[in-house]
Amino acid sequence: MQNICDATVRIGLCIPRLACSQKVAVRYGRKPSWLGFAKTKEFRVPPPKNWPKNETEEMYLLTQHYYTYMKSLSVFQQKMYERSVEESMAHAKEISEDGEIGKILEEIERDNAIVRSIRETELIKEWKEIEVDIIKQRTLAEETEILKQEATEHELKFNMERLKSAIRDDALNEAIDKALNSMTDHNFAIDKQGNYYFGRHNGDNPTEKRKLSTIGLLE
Amino acid sequence: MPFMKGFAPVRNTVDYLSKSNLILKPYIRIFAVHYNRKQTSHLEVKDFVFWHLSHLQYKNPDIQVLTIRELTPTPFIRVWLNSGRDLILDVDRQTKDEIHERIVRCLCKTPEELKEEQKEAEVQENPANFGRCCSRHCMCEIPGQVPCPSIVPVPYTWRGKYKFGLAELDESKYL
Repeated sequence: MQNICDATVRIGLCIPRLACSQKVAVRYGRKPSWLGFAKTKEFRVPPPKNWPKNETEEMYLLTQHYYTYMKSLSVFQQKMYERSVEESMAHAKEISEDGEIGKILEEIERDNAIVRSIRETELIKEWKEIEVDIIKQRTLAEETEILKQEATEHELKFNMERLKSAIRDDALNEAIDKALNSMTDHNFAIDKQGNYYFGRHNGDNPTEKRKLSTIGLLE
Repeated sequence: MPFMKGFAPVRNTVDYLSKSNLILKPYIRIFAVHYNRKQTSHLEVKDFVFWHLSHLQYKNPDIQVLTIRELTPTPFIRVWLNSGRDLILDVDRQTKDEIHERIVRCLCKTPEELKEEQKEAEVQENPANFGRCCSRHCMCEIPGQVPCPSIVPVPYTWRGKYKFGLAELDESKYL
């Protein structure tokens, strides 16, 4: 029996929705629920289905067992899925972090190489300056050493020359006798021309002639 | 002011501390600076520590910041990561500003990352927002707005399919 409806009808699978005013003949489909019950069927009470008590209990137990089993399976699968998602996210995060850290490491190595090269050139420069300073100080020390040596030699010579006329212990008595026997005449005179006359008995012969300015007198 | 003591007490002010972009990446855990106090090649690192270490700690309160002195011939910065790995930055004979720029370039979050974080923070902070990560998921939850169409259907004249001629008006079909 054909059912003619005013609206679209679902025949097994979904079909595209048609215009509302079209009337479609339906062969195998059900009457749509929004049309409502027919008047003859409105107050119909279907006869109760009598199931044996044992069967109902068994059915109940079987369905309950089935539902718990299916529920446990679905929960387990859900947990497995969530765990796999977490692991993949953590792995992706690690990969992205590792990649980032790798890039950072490359950049750091590059900068460190630049710093290293600058440090090496500056260290070489510093060591060269230190070397020059050391050489300078060494030459200065050698020169001062030479000067010291010369000075000591000069002093030694001077003292040796001076000591030539020194009186030794063994010749002391002779020196005393000589000193006692010799008389030093400290007398001297200066005339206006600047002539020096040494000794009491000089015979009017000037011994030395000097300029008057050397003895502090004005010319 | 209780902390305006010592050399350059401006370093203790909130204004000074907040004006810093030394926000390190999230996987950095320890930041250690090795230097000497009296060597000439270490003076710039000493300046960096003096002016910028407080910035680092203020902006990264969960990171351990260390200074290790008088134990190295050349100054360097050592950074320890979450994975246990360490990175070494050689900062010998670099100025304070060069060291700062290098840390910002290599170890700090990029401006794009900071903008995204700021947006997310704004979304969470504003109580008037609704949607993902907010207290209200949909506009229909807010009093005074149109109720949820899944519970109370919207009048058919408001629906796009009737408004733009994709379907014909028929009240009986809508009911």
